[in-house]
Amino acid sequence: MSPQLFALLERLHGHTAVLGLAVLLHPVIALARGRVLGKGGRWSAALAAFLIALPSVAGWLLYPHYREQIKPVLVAENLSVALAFESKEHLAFACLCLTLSGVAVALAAPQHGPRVALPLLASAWICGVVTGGLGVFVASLS
Amino acid sequence: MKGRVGTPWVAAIALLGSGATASYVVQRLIDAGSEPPIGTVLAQAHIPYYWRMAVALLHGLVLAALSLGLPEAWRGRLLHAAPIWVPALCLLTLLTMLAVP
Repeated sequence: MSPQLFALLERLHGHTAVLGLAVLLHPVIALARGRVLGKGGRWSAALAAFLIALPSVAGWLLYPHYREQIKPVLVAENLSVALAFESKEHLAFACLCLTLSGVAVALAAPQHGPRVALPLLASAWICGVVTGGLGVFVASLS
Repeated sequence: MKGRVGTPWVAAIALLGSGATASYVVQRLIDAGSEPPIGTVLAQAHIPYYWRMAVALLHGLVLAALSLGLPEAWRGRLLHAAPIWVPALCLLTLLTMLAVP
């Protein structure tokens, strides 16, 4: 992977993830008020799923390069950052799984939105925020 | 509002996502107990992270398929209790994955 492509994917990865978390907040708040998602809420949920899946795919493409080129240096020079990166990867997968299943429930079975989709999406959002925080920490120190 | 899918599929979808998450956490904990310290292995033939995600997805799919065979009353109880067990899973995932990177 060229350095330019790596830099592009890395920025896409971070920025779309933050955008996805911001969009995900809309269906979470709507469902927390006990409402079934309206047209706007359903669009937000679908967009959030896309914006969270996209950085996950970008992250999977970046991971081999990170593992070969960056991780050894990071482990040798700043172990706490390398460990934070590993936690970030684990929580990102949890965020993706919970988001996709929550959005699928919210879109396909709106009557189960407040009871089933809400805990899935709210949990995904919390995992995503911690993931984002770890990502900012890693990016600022590495 | 009536949805496009019934209760069996809602339970299956919920278990797919949460089952994959739980499987990933358990696999990571098992790996952490047996793997060499970080930094001692620089190159492996396979990438454990990819394998772990693939196996977690497979476990989620199996759990979702099995849930389709559950009695209706069990599925109802499972969905009714979702506001309890989903956040509990989220909390456990957060704590374990921060404690065991």
